[in-house]
Amino acid sequence: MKITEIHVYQHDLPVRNGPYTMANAEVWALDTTLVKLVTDTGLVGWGETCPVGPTYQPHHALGARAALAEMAPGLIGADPLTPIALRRRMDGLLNGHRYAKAAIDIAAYDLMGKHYGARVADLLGGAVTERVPSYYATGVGAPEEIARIAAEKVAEGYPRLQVKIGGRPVEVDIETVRKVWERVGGKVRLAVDGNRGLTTRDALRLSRECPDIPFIMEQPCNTIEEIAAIRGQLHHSVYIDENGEDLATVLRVVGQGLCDGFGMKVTRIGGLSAMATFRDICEARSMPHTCDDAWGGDIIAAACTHIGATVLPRLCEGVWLAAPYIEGHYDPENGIRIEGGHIRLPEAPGLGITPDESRFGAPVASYS
Amino acid sequence: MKIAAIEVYQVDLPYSGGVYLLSGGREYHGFDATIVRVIADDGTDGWGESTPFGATYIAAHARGVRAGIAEIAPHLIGRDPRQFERIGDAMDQVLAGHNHAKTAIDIACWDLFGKSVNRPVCELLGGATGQRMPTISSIYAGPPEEMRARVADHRTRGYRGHSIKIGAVEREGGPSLDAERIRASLADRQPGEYFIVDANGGLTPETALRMLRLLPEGLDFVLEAPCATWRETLSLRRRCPVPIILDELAQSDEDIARLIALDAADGIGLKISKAGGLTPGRRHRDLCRAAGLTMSVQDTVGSTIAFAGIAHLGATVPPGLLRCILDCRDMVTLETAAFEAPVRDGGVLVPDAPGLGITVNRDVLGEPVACWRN
Repeated sequence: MKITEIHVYQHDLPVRNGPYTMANAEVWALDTTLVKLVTDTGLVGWGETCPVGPTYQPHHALGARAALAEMAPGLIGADPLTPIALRRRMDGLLNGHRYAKAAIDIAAYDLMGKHYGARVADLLGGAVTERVPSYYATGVGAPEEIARIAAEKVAEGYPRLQVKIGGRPVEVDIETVRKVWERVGGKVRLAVDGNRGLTTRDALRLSRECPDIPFIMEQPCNTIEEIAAIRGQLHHSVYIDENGEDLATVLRVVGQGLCDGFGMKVTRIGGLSAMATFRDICEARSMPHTCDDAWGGDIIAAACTHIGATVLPRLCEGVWLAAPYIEGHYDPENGIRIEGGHIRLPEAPGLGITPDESRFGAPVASYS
Repeated sequence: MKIAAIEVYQVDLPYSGGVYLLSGGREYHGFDATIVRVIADDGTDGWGESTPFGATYIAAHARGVRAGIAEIAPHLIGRDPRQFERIGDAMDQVLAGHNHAKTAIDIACWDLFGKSVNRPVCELLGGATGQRMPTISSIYAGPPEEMRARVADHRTRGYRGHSIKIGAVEREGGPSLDAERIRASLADRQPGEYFIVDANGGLTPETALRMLRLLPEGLDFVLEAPCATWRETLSLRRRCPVPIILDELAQSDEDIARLIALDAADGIGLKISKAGGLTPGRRHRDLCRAAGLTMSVQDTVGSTIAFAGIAHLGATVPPGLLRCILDCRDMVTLETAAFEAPVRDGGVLVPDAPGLGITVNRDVLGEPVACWRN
């Protein structure tokens, strides 16, 4: 099979009931980039990449499309059925920019699945569940309000909650965690996500003042060095998210024992091939992790769900989706939805999503 | 003073030597430069450049430079370009990372700052040492005797430093070919010359150690960017008898802090577009000075505008720590600006002219490919 055409689409995803607030940014609408690979067999595959604004990580939508423009002419003629060779070909065309390469990688998996008549989850090693656990992430908000949302989401059936903190006095963060636990304590697993926003001082204080609340602390500080410096003094497990930029970094922090698990994003690590390697590294050391992405519509949601379905259940911290913040679906029939805190794994071959292309308008760039 | 407009120009810079070869089969015929003009409300303007070394050297490419500037530029209109740290903060607030995109704007702001107070940029960066800065050649990988001839040629052209590119894969000859390249390139070494053996991340600890064992005693060189990752570099560091210089791994402020904390190297290649401009470059200079690390002040590549930035920062590095500067003017055939800084008597002095001291050759820039104004 050979790639004969690559089409790149730009699509806006407004935040439902916006904005979405994190420690260092708030966003009202996200700019997503979709990629359609057309092959000589007539089969097409879809990929997507959608940074959650330009300041969450060194990723931005204009940069994703610039990177695709840099690589696309060199990918015409490539075989999408050989994902590792495809990744190496992309690395030969452009250094870094894994978040843009991920869109191509995801589209290749979609094609592979359609070609072999298999779901992406089965190509990635096999689904262990048809109902993949999700988790709900609250924005940064007032303690009472966040506690109210937490109770509501636990009642909906979410097995895990992630409370965002940071960017404000740590006393408010501590109060938020306490209020949340008063409402939902014992009924749900809890992650407290600093999104790099805490100083080591505040992270230590948060942990010291909540020794009775069994949350995991996700990416409290900006750098691996800061986290390593305080890890021995924390009462809580530490997960790394934003710093897990590539497999080499994952190996380093696993090898040096700098964390207990990961929040992991499919596009950040470079797509589904890299994500499967990451999953296997984690399983070799019994490290729990999520399978998320920063943002994105049905294509990203499906990619996260397929890899999430293959994670050993005791290590699966869930699949976070932006779906609750997005109005409508690319695929009105098979679009990825969270119901009762869980996601049904699509059944059709490939990603199981057939997007309604008319929603995306004309491609912003095409290569053949 | 306020920024009234930002213009972006795209210019193709042909490589002066035909085809440039780098480890891993990477080759380059020319470079895609992005040149930025920042225009102040009083009509004065400042210039900066960012030219990535192709798309596979580090995670930077020309289209990405311009995409990054498009993200940043609208947020800078109306700000005071002389408050370089605040400009840096403003850029970081609208785009994480992407140092290569921030560089051209940062340099243009320094040029404006210098012009506004009628002093050269090097003076605003702390003052020139007044010492001539030796320049470093770039000897791409090839047959050993041919590399020796190219070193000799550069020697006659006044270069006092030589960057010898290595990184042969096993089927090409591997560590023994690289050892031959080093031996041949250093065969005619003259007193006072400085040799960097630059692997551009192309070695593993295993190939690096094999290569070093194949070399005779007494060769005076430093090993730059031996490995692609921190883990490999730290592993090699413990067992490496020659000084290690980091380049591709030392990009951000955080990288420099980590390098020092882990004692991972003895110096850095301070490339301005890798750092994010003269503002972070100045911080790296000071961190390295405090830690006793050597610096060669360079850029990924670039034309005269990029060279002016190199020269002004290089001029402020204490001579005991400055190893060389890269005269990137020699790597390209297009002259984007006039800059009165010839290589003479073993090195370069920065001119005593306001700002960067350049006169941009507007004719070669064409029309702006993008423009933002208030």
